Amino acid sequence: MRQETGLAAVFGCVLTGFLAYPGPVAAQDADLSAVRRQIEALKSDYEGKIRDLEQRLAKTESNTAQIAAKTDQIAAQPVAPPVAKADTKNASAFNPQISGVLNGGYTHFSDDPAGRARIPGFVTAPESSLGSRGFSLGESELSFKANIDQAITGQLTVSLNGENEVEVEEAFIESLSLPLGLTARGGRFLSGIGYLNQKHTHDWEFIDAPLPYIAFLGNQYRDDGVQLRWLAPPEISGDMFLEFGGELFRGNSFPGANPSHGKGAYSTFVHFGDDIGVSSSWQAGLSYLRTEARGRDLGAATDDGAEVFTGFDNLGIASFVYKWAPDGNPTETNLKLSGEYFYRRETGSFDTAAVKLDQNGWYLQGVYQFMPQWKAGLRYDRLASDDVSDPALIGTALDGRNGTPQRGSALLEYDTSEFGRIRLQYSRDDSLVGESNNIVRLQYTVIFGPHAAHGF
Amino acid sequence: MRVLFCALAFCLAALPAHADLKIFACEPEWGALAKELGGDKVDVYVATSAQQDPHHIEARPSLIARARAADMLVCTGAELEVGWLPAVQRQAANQKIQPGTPGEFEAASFVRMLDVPGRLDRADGDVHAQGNPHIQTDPRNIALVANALATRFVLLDVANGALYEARHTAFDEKWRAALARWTTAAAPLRGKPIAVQHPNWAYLNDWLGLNQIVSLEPKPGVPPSAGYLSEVVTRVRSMPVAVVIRAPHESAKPSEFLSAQTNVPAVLLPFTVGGTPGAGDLTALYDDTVTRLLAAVK
Repeated sequence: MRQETGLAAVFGCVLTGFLAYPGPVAAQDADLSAVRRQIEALKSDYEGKIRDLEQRLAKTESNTAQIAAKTDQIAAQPVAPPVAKADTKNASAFNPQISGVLNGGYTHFSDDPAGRARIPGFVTAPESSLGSRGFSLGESELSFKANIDQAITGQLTVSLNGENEVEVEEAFIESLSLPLGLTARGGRFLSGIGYLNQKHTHDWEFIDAPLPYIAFLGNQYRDDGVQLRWLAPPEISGDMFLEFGGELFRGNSFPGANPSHGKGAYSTFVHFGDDIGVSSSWQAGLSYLRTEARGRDLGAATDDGAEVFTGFDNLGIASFVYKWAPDGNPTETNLKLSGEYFYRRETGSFDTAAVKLDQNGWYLQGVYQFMPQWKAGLRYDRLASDDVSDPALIGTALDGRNGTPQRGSALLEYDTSEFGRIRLQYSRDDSLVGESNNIVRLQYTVIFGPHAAHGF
Repeated sequence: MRVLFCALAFCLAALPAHADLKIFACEPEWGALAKELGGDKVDVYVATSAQQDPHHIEARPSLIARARAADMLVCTGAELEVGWLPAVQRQAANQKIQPGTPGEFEAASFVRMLDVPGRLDRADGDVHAQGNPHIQTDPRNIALVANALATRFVLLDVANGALYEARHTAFDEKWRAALARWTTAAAPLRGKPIAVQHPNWAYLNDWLGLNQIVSLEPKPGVPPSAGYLSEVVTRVRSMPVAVVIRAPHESAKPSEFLSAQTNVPAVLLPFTVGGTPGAGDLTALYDDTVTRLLAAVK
């Protein structure tokens, strides 16, 4: 053992020193006994130390055995519960969730309709233009979300378009704790009508809006107002999803304008849905939107006349969406089919001519994820409108020229992850009657910030 | 409309037979645990199956309808359900299960988290700020969660409190015996090098002492390219692994490719209740996990 070796060395040194001592014999005897005493003292000292060390060693060994035994016990037991994790020191922990959406791309079209009616037979809003050719930056979105307190949550989404203009896309508060399955919302928000309407454009499967959305809602209906939704309890719905909603709006968004008393539009809708087995699920909806326009002047958007509209729009929408994934696991392959039918009656006057027009439109689209990260899709959309008979309107934007605006689109999408995607879309656009427009769009869309939860 | 009235009539007729606690379980393991602890006093709806990836679930209308009626959510938390559960909670408009209420139970809050990232960057793949959320691959965590869940049951349904406590005591005893059995049986697995398809086995590795040396995903959640897979094959040839494991919701292709190239057995582990035919309940889940690993490693 190490201690014994050390002790032998000490004795060795002492002995060597003693044997080498050169003094006289008498003196040597006295010295010898002194040395002996010293050695005895050293010896007892070291023996004490050794005993001490041995005791300590024994103690350590028994401790180790105890620890080993304890470790075995712990291994068989659940791991220790955690300590509190919340970082309470950081004042910025109360900051809202901030997320951003960036998109941009390249657009090619064979025919630039600038300066002409976008879709003959329909007066469209300025935001429904085809956009510009070549490279362009899409709308960049910044979204802030947070619970205000125990009763209210809030959300602000600001978009910056390619021309450096800032627009408040959505800014609303929503109830968190109303009873009976009720949810109330107020502010500026995307209306709950239809299916695509309440989804942000970056959540749409295709890069642009389907024709009925362009013609009847100016791409998407959003306005300032209030919304109340009620989710039916299972006693009524029988475990099916059944939601009713109603909205009251200021009414200044297309197709409405200059509302009387600042409440010119209202809507009602019902959404319902369920699963079919484990692999399929669906949702359908019926919606109604009524808007009023008082001297709506789209001016530059329609150089062909029919600029100023006063009257009412009554719009009905029937929508459905169906999703399929093997065993309900969409990671490898999945399919999404959706379609909506729009019917609108427009009564009032364009410029000075009285009109009562029945118009309709629909789209049907399917997107299939054929392998992870890759999707392919097809869409068909079309519109139909009554012919105008008033001579004052012949040749204006409302003159459908006996055609059927329609369009077919194909899509290829590559997702870098849940947060990034690149899309290539080809459309053959016959919405300009008699003139086919070949449109190719290449677009990237990325989302940064916290992981958002997506609706169905 | 007729469907609606039929449903209305049916439900009114069925009303008196309702259970005391309606539970919306996000994953099958928590559904199974809730049944173990609640017995016939709980009515459990399991939102996902073992064939589904709990990261990627659609906020389906049926889930919203079930959440509307629930008294309690029993979920993993730690951002596992971040892509769908908040949407379900918001749309369900049910005060009982909103974030922060006692009706929202997050299992991951009651265990020691592993793989807590030192930095948060999406360039690192699918990272979770609070750590690896797949806590159910270690049965010791089930005991911890059972403890917390039983307490929560008592809080939410005081009338049946004694029953929940008694069932928990019985479960805990059964679980301790089972833990000792699994730990002894799995002793030969200690220190074995393994490959995984997706890094969702951190807790299993911690429990059984498995040594994960390679993942078939270049980064968590990023599907492997052919180039990356051939790199893995080279690595595994120079540094052999005992087994390559995957969960039922993951594609079999990458692990089967590695197996074909290197003769390393590819093993499907149940991952959760119902993941394999043998993993019908919580106890069977770990019985089957240990059995399948031992069979492959021998």
